[in-house]
Amino acid sequence: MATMTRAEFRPPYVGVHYEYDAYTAETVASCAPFQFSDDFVGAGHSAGVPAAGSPSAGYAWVKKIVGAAPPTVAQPSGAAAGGLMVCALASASEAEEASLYCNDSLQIDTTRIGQAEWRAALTQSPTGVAQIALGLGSVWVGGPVNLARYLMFLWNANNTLTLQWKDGGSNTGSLTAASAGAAIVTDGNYHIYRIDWSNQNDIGFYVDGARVNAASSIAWAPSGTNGVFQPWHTCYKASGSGLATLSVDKIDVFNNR
Amino acid sequence: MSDQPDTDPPSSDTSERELPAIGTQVVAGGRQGVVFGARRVGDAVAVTFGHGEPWLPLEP
Repeated sequence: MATMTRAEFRPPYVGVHYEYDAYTAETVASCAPFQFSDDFVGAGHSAGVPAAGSPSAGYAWVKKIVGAAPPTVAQPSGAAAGGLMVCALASASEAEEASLYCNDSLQIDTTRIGQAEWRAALTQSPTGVAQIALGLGSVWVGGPVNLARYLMFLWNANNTLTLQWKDGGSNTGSLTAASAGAAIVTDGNYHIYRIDWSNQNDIGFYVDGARVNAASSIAWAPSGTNGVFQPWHTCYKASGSGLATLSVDKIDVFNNR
Repeated sequence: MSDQPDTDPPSSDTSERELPAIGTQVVAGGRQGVVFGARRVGDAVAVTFGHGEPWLPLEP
């Protein structure tokens, strides 16, 4: 596919400088002072993700596995070029969770200008009571919307994309993602998901470069460290049957200090 | 010590009102509709019935 790199400041004129691919809308570079990126390439990933509570030195991620079947968080053997990490539920009728996060190291500050972006796919759409969530969250609690604070993309079994936010204060809510007025029913292909907190009064959620929440629909005013998060990728069901698989190709976080 | 009379526990009005789930029918701003989004700002709960449509106060 052809590439056409363009650049802009977010917010315009005064914000962080970003370069992005005009065809895919993927951010390919930034001049932000804080940068955290992972393409899930290298032996640390293929060797296995450490369990929650037992992180490995030099490795950012842990996995939370709930369920006997069991669910998995792993890089598939023979993963495609470019790296990949996959969270997957099993088919058993039971409470299950497959989450990839940073062992509750909260270090991404959404009170400063920045954004987080993923290239990810719903390899197995949620079925039954299963959910998939992708975004930023506070310390682990079972169930994505049970976290104390979050900014997340979330899918239920109908595949309709919803946006979820909770700043630990008075701002919380959920909103159906929409483009050109129509709700977004996500397919199984890879898409670019971006959360932009350049404007604290107007959090922007984007899919493939298109904004999917109306202007001023999501206010954000976390107090103190309530605005500091870790990346959050999860497949979850509280009980019962349901499948879900989330494939994450990359994550990039760009932020001001 | 005398027995305490039976009384109901003090009521608590401090719990926050639950946000209506997306897809449910509610009445807000004098209109009935299906929740497209719901949010809390301060003590208020508001819902919207569509992308870019106004946020309306949820009625009791």
